[in-house]
Amino acid sequence: MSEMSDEQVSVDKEDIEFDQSELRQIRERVLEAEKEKLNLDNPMGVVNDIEDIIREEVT
Amino acid sequence: MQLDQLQLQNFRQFKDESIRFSRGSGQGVTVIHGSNGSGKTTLLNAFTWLFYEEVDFDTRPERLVNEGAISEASVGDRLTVSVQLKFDHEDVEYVAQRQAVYEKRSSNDFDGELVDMDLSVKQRSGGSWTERGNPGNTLDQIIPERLSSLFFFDGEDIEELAGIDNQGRIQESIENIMGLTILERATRHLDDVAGRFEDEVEENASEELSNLIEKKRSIEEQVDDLERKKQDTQRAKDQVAQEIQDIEQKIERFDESAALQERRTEYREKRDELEAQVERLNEEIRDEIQEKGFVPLGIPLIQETAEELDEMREQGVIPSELNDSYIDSLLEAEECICGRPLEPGTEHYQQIEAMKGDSVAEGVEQSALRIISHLNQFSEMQSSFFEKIDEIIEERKSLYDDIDDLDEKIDEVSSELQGMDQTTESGESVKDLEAKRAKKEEEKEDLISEQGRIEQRIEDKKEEISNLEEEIDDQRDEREEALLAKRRQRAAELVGAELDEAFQDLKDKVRKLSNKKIRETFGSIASKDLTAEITTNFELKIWQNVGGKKVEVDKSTGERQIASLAFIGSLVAIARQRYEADSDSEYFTGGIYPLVMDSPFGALDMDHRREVSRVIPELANQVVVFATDSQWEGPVEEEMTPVVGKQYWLDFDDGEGDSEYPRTRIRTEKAAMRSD
Repeated sequence: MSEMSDEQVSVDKEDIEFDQSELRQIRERVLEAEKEKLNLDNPMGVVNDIEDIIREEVT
Repeated sequence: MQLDQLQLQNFRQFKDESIRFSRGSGQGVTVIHGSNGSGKTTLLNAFTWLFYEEVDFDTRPERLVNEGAISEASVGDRLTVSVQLKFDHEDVEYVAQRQAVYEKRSSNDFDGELVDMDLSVKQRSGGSWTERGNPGNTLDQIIPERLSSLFFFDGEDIEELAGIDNQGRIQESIENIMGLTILERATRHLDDVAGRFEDEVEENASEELSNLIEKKRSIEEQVDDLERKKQDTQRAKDQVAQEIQDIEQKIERFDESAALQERRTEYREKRDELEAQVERLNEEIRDEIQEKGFVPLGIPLIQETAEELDEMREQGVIPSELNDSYIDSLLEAEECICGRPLEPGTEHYQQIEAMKGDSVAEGVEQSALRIISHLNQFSEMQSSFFEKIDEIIEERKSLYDDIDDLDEKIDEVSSELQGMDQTTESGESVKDLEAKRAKKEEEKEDLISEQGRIEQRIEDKKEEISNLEEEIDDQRDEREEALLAKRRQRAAELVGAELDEAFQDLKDKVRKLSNKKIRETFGSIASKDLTAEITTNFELKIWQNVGGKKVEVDKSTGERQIASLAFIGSLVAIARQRYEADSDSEYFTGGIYPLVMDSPFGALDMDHRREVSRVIPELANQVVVFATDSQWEGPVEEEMTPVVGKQYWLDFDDGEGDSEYPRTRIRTEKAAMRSD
């Protein structure tokens, strides 16, 4: 995103593309987080974790 | 999960007793013998009390503390009731213990007042023991409470699973045991996260885009409200249906009206069967249209093509022969009609050269005629398609007529009942009851219509949302923050959609696997003309083959009870197979579960007892069976003895004299039991 210019850019969601490897990385981390929470004492907060994962992966 | 040892202290009639469960391979069955009232159900309750603080006793459910102990205690004394279970789960050792402290408040207080309750779960991994911070949750994750009746199984509830309204529970059981829950949760949570990023888009977006998002959000909330209303209506409908059933039971109690009520039930069952047949016909129509529906649509074009081709053939436009000069030209150019090189002397060259002559001409002519004939067959197909559809519609019409007849008969029964004056002791007459029932029936119909209206509104709102989403996507925005948020939202949506697809695929796969297993298990127990299946709606159905027709078996029969056992056993077996196999999906991993069954054979006849006792130990690694002597002796004992690793006898003393109180001791030898 650092290469993004200030000029008007289409944000049509259908136009947003990702590499498969990018999505795979998110998917694996999300599932891992879910799996951890499933067996942990406190299952709360997994939504926050997933939000953080996506913030970290999509920059 | 593998059970190791259960220890009870002051728990009902068990003062200080323990059981070590058999875990041997091939001998994983533990049998606990006990006469009625000796404490078998109490032992089953010890598991559910420990895991979920739930008990289900027929007598004095409030009295958990041992009667002898509290009787002998002084006022103000505190007594501890405790259940401890040692077990393994996924290569980790656990010790779970629930303790409740009761205080005796007066000399004739035999229940005690609960003053403290504590649950602890310790686990050992890597040599040292650690205490879990949230023990209840730990246990619930090992065996979820909602599924506990599958593993801590009361024979009296044997047919509950095969009930008509249990598909939700069946589906949940399958998903949970197969580890599909993670996928389902991830999908749901990603949806929440996508929503959060959408908020961010809204915060950073242009006013127009922001308004659109807000509008969409508001409609989404309306959909949530409508979904809740739909559920409320469903609950209200179930409630009214239950009330109708209760009224009908009252009507059945009168000799005069019982026959009429019975007749009504019979008509209704017939009606349900006819409606099921109508549904099957509708399915046939759908299949037929799917398979051959293209024919009527394509027929004008097909006919036109056939006619033109024939005309061309008659006019000689289609070459009636491949002349030799054309073949010569190919050979000379050393290139075949298909583009491949034709080198003199090669096999291919010789083949083409040999085509010179009359035989080829006949081949082309024949081919054209064959194509025309094939095309003409579509006309025949069209006729047979319409004939078939007409036939099905005719059959359906006749079924509708029969349904109308039955409706009339059902109304007649109602009218007759509304003319009966007999009254109950509480002063309700059949007439009144039937009038009340008819009113409730109307209420039910209203609720069904209301549900339909709500569903329609939900559908309309969803369409509005979909249109708004398109508008939102068409918006342009120049701000980087909005773009980044939108990109993250999109990532969450894409991964969510992918996981949802994987979830649906796996769910289907698991259902098919469960179906296969339950068919095998049920097939090896029940009569040959019966089959069990889990439908695409996750209903457990039992079918009987009657003269080549599949008829659904009534729910109260022994077959349904066996189906429930087969279902539970199959789930445990699939979970074990998946756990032991090299899994093809890391989230479809299964697990090891024991089966703890209180009187599972009680409701079965001798033949079925034999088959169930043969099959169940094959399905689970560890089985704990509670049985009376009469349930155990005979076929069950014959089949199970080779796989029994441990046996216990519940020695119940009902207490005699002033200082004696009811007590059950757990013996390892039958001979050691005190004689009554």
